[in-house]
Amino acid sequence: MMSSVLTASLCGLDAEIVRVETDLAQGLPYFALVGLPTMMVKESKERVRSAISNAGYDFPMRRITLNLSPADTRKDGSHFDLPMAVSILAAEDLVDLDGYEDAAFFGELSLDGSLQRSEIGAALVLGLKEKGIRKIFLPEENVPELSLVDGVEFYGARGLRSVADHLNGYNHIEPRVYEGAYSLALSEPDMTNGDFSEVKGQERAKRALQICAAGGHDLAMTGPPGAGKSMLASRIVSILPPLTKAEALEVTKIYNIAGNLRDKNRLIQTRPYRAPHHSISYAALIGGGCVPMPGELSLAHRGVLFLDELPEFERRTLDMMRQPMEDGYIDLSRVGYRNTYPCDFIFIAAMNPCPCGYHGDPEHECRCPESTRRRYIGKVSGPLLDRIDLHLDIQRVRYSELSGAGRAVSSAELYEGVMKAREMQRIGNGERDGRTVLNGDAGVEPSEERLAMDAGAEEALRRAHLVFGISARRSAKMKRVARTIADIEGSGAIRAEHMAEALSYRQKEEAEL
Amino acid sequence: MATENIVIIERDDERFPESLRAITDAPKRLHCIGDVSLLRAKSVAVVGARRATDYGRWAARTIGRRLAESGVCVVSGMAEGADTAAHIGALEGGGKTVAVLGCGIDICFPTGNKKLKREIEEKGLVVSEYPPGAPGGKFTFPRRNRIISGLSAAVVVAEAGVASGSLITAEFAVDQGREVYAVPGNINRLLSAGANKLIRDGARPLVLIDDLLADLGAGAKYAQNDPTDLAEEERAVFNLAKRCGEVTIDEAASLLMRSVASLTATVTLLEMKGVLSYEKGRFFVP
Ligand SMILES: [Zn+2]
Repeated sequence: MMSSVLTASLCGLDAEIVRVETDLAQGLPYFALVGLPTMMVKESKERVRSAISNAGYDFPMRRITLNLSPADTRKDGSHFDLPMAVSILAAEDLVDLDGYEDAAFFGELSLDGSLQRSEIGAALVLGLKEKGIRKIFLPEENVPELSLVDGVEFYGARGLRSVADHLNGYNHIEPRVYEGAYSLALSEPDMTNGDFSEVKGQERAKRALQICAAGGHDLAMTGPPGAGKSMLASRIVSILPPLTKAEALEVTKIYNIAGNLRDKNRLIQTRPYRAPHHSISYAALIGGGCVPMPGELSLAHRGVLFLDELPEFERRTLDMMRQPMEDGYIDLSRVGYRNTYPCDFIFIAAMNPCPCGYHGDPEHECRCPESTRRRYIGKVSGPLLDRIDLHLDIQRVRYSELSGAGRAVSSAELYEGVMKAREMQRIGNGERDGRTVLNGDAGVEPSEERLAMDAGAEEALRRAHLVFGISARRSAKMKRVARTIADIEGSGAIRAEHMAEALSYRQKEEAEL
Repeated sequence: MATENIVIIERDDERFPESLRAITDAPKRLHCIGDVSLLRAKSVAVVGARRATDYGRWAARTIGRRLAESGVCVVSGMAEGADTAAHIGALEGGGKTVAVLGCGIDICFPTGNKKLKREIEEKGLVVSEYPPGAPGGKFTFPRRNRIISGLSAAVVVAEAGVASGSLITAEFAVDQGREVYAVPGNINRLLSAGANKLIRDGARPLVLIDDLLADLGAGAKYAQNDPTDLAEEERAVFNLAKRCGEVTIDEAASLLMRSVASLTATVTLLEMKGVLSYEKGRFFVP
C-alpha cells in the first residue's frame, strides 16, 4: 500500500528531484500532506481529490499520507497535482507503474481531471533532463514548446484519465521525442532592432559597440539628448553571435521562471536586450520578492542590459548591481529557498552630460552651474562606473559640409570583425563551460602571452600613465580592451595603434574637465 | 587642515609682496599654505565666470597652461568654472599657481575643489586675508579680488557675463595700474558680454596667447604650434585640425579616407604628444 512517483521542484534555475510517496493505511478517512509544502501546494489536496473522482475512480476512503521527499526543502507550485494523483492511484493499485519507475510527472489538474499548461514547464523539463530523467508525463499543451530538448520522451496528456489509461496499457500515448531536431530560427544575428547602417554619422560609437560585442566589454556613453544613444545601443544585438543551444536553453529557463514567456515566443532564440526604465523598482531590476524571482539583471543574461539616463536610477539600486556583475550571478536565497540566478551580460549605460543635456554641445549653451553638473554626475555610483571598460563621449551629428560624405558602416561589416575576434579569443583564451572566455569577462585574467605588447604599445601605455595619469588598475583594463581591438584586427601582439585606440576609451577624471 | 601648516605674513614682513603693499586698502596680513616665495614671483591673474561655458573653461585652462609653461605663475580665485580651469591649466603646464580665497584658509569653497586645493597647497600657494574658520560672505569674495589683481602683473578675463565677479577684478586691476586682457567671445552670447565690454572700454583683446607671453617678455613657445617629429598620417591629422578648428573623428575619417579605428588611434597618440586636445567627441589644436 505504498507508492512513489518522481517529480521536480525548482530552486532558482535548477530543479531538484522530488519523490511523492503515498502511504495508505486502514482507519478513519484522512488526507495528510507533509514535506514542507507551501500554501499553494497544500491546495493541491482538494484538486487531486476532485480530479481523481471525476476521472472515474473512487477516492480511497482511508488514512492517506503524502510525503514530498526530501522533506527539508520548500516545495512550491501547482504542478505537484499530477504526481500526487498518480501516486495515490498507484498506492491503491489503480494504476501500474511497472516500466515507468524512472519517469517523472508534473502538471496542474482541474477539478474535472484535465491538465493545464504549466507556466514553468520548460524550466521543469530542462531541470529534470539535467537530473537524468528521460521520460516525462506532462500537460499536452506544454509539449510543442519543448522542441529544444532532445533525448527525452514526452508523454503529453490531456488529463489524469489518459495518463492512467496509458500506464494501464490501453489508449497508448505516443511519446514525442525531439531527436536532434534542434535548429534555431536564427543562425545569423538578430536584426529585429535594425541595422547599424541606418545610423548615420556615429561611426566612432559603432566602433566602440563593435569592441564591446567582440570582447564582452561594458560601455558608458555620455552625450546630449538626440545624439542617438539608445538607437545605437539597441542595434548591438545585430552584431552579437547567435545564442548557442546551451545558452538558448539557459535563457529560456530564466524567462520561464520569471513568467516572461509569451505564448508566441516560448523559446528564447535571440539574445536578450533589456532596457528597463529608470522608474523600475529595486526588486524588478535586481530580482527578489517573497518567492525570489529573477530581475532584469538575470533577464539580460547572455544578452545586453541597457540603462538609459543612468543618473536617474536610484543610487542604492546601482550600487547593488556591481557585485552580481562581478560574480556573474545573483544570490537571492531566503530561508527555505535556495535561489541563485545567473546574470552575465554586456552592460551599456547612457547618460546626459548634465541635467539640461547640453554641456559640451557646440550649438546649444548649457546653463547648468558647475556644481549642479557635478552633483548630477556624482549621483551615478562610482564603483559601477569604475568597472566599465569603455567610456565614450558622443555628440549629435552636425549637418555640415564635413559630415555626410562618410559612409555608414553596416551591421554585417561590424559582425565580421566580431566573429574574427571571437575566434581569436576561442583559440587564445580557451573555453569555460562550453563558452569562449572573452577578454572582458570578469574574474578571468588573460594570460601574459595574450597581453604581450610590442615596443610601441608599451611606450603608448607609459606615456598615457604620464600624460593622462592612468593608474595601474586602469591600465590593466586598457590592456584588455587593446587585446580585443588586436583580436578584431587579427593581430597576435598588441600594437601601438591598438593601445592608442583603447586609451581613447579611458574614463576621464573630473579634473580633466 | 591642521593650523600649524599656516604661515602668517604681516604687512611689514619682508616676504609681503611690494606690489600688494602698494595698493589702496592692502590687507593687514596674509594667511598662507604652501610656497610663500610665490608671493614675489612673476604672476598673471586668470579669472572668469563661475558659470563659464566650455569655451571659457577651455580659454582659462589653455592660458593657464601656456603661462605656466613659460614660467609665469598663475593667480586665480579657485571658484567654480573659469578659475578652476585656470588653476588646472597651470598645474598641467607643470607650473606654479596661487589661489586667493574669500574665506578662511582652512575652508574649501566650493567643496568640490578639495582635491584641487590640496594639490595647490602642495605645488603652489593658497592665500587668504581672513583668519582660519572665517566663513565666506557676500562681501568677502569680491573683496579678495583686489588681492588677486594686486599680486599680478596683469589680469586676463577668460570669460565674463555682465554681472561677473571677474569684472570687479578687472576694475581693481585698472585702479592698481595693471594691464587688463579679455578673451573676446561671441557678441550674441550673454556670458561673453562682460568680457567684450571690457575690450570696448580699453582692455586688450587676447587674440593670440603668444601676444600675452610676448608682452610679459616670457618668451613665447612656438615649438608646440608646429611640431616636427610627426609621422605622415599624424601630420595629416594635425594639419586638418589646424585648418578646420574642431573636428570629430567621424568627420576626419571621411575627409582623410581612413578608418575610424585608426584615426582614433592617431588622435590619441597626438594627444599624448601634447599636439592635439580631444574633448567631448572633438579634437582641436590647443
Ligand atoms: Zn546643462
